[in-house]
Amino acid sequence: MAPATSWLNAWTGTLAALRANGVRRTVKQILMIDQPRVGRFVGKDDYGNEYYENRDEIVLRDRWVEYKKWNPDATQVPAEWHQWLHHITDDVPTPQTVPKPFFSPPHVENLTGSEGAFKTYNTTVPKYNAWKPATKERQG
Amino acid sequence: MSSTAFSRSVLSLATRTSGARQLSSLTAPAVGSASQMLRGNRPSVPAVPDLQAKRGAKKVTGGKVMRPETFGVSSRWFVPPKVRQTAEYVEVPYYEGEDASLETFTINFGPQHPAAHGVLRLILELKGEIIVRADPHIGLLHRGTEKLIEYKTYLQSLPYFDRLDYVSMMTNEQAYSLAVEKLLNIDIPPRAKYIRTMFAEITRILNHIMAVTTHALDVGALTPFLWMFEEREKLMEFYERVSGARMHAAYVRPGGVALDMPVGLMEDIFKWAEQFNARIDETEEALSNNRVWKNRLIDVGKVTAKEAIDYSFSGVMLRGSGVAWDLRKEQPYDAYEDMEFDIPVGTNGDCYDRYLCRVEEMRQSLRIIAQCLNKMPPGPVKVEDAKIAPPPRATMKESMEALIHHFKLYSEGYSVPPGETYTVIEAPKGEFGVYLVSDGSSRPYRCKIRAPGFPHLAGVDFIGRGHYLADAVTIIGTLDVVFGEIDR
Amino acid sequence: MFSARISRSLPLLAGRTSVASLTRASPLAATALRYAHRSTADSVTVRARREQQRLNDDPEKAIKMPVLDRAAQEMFLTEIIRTMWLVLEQMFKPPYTIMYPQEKGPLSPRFRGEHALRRYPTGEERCIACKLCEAICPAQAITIEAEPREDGSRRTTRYDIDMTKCIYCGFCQEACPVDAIVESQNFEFTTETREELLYNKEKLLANGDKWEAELARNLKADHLYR
Repeated sequence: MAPATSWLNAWTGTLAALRANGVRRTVKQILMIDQPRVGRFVGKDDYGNEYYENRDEIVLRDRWVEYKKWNPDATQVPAEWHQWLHHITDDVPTPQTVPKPFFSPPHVENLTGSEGAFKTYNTTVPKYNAWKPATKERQG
Repeated sequence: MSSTAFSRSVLSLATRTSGARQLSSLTAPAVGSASQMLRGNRPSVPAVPDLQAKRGAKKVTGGKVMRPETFGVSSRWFVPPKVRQTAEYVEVPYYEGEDASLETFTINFGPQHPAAHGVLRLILELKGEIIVRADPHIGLLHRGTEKLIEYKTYLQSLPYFDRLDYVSMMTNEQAYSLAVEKLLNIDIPPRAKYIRTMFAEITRILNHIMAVTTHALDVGALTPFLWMFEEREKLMEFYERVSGARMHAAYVRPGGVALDMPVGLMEDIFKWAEQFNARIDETEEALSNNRVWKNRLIDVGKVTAKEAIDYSFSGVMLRGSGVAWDLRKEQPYDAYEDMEFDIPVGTNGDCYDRYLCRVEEMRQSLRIIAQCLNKMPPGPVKVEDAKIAPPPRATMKESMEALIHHFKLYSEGYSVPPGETYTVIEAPKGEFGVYLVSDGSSRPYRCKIRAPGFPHLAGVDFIGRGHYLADAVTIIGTLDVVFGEIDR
Repeated sequence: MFSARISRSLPLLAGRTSVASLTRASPLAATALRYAHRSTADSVTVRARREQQRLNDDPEKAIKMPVLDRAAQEMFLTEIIRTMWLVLEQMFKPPYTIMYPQEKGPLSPRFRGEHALRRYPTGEERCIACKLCEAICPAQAITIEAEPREDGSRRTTRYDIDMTKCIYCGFCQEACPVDAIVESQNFEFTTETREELLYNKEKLLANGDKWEAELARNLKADHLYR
């Protein structure tokens, strides 16, 4: 079947999306990903991003994420869904199949350019320190 | 358009064609006829024979000559003769009454020109629109690779080769690995040979896609570029699946290859190879017969066989001129002895022939890939000598001896017996050679890299002379220069 | 586990590969595919070969295309129209552009991206400061300093990777005897300043914690090849 993304099917695709997704989500799709898409809901990660799949699309376009945030960043996808979205695996991650280690912190996006950007620092005791000349106050 | 203007343009076109004909055949000047305008006409003289005689003859006719048919049309829209000149002498148009002191002017082509293929800086000396001299300036991408390699172990040197000719990565690694293997005097397992051969051919296609389509892009055809880069993307995905990196693979190692191919990769390569011929057909449909493409390429950048050999050209630059020389046939390395393939050879030595050669080489590469897929032998992918290739990780974790080997290999590296070798392979661009000197330690004493692009770029001067400025782009495109390997 | 990727294999192809779709989309391409099964050498599509053959046979004949054919081609722009038709066909094919932030390209378990230092499932860091990665690194991007920890075990106090030097060759993860330093599948670590790319031990460990779920799985998937 021709994918709904073909320019020929833009209108029929929109109608199908309206029927399947409802007005609200269709409008959100148009605003955020420029095209209304119909797909099977696969899962939702801890941060509210939703993952969809449509095997009728051409391959590599058959999985997509609809970000929760309105200004999405590609790094908002957490590790367990990262591999699914990148077609590394076909297994849908669940807490059972992809256990999250207890030391894993909550996923953070790439914070460069913001307050939280990584700033490097020394992890050892410095071997030498800057010379701070101790001067006596001039007498008299 | 008035009738006089029309006839004028026809005449000027005719003079162009007759000028080209005349110098190539050195017959009496004939007034260009309408049939000669049709660019289906290609000079019938094969490039190989009796070149000397012609060059000698050209010298005799040297000097600023005014040919009546060239200068018969007096118009400010006059089109100068399009002639291929010898290296010794360039004929430039001479306008009557012009200031003789205003001979030429010089322009900079690059290093930020989009058609300069990287950081090429070409100083063009122009007479009007005709190139009198083309002086390539190199070194803007010099990274001192050869010197760096002297301070690295044999394994550490490997990633540097990816970054030489960065559109044909695995063939560079292959050349280096073959050189090291020659010094080590080892033979690698057949499966490794076949994997190398297959990926060398994939690399060749990668490179030729780049060469042909960016050439077309420079000349003005954008569409094949977009089509073929989709294919290139798939090939890079093969790279990624086998090695973990889309370009700088570090996959072919001295002693074999790094890892075995993952399950399913060969099937995918087969599927891809099955449909790729159709993609080449699409590109050829768009280019080969296209009149614009032919007008821009035929008779442009002609290199005779003698010139090609004199300037130590190799690869397509040599074969396009009619010299059937391919190192895969002449001194087969890896699994090329078992492969059945043909060497396309050009006849005229112009850009169009080289384009056809590249396209045909892609098809021949497909043949080799298919044979590799069919004949792929089972077995190990690197020499099972723990003194050279690291043991498998599972063994390393269990066996003390393997762990010691692992530590030795990744810290000190392996020692290579003293000796020197010049090992060459037929890289997509031509003869890629590695001259490696070992003093018996674990680091190369000297590593000289013979990059095919270097002499090709050196030839831009004699190829470009006498051509239009616009043809400089065509010529650079057909040279297939990549500055990673030229500047090293 | 990874069978799905393997069997569906090379996702990129599917849009344009099957003979049926080619036949539907492009009669030209379908013809070529038919010939592709034959030896390429005698394929009629090999224009270079054919031309060369003719030139070898009779150079005089080779340059002469029948004059009527040539005239027709010149006048009716046949080759241009053929190309235009080919371009027109492309318009009816589905677009294969991957819309990046929503859809992402394929990766393999071997992909070499941003570095990460891993931990054992207990939470203990793996790196034992053997400095093999520092020794093998061709770009000399890794700096390690080590001291015995309070409990007597040997651990690094400094593990810095200068990501601006790193050439992502993967030698460090090959060299690592305890699978501590790995290159993760993450390539989205661009920064706005160079300073942010000077990773220290804490940053690398944080990377490892962040991607551990994926790292463990990919190492397991590829372990048979290593």
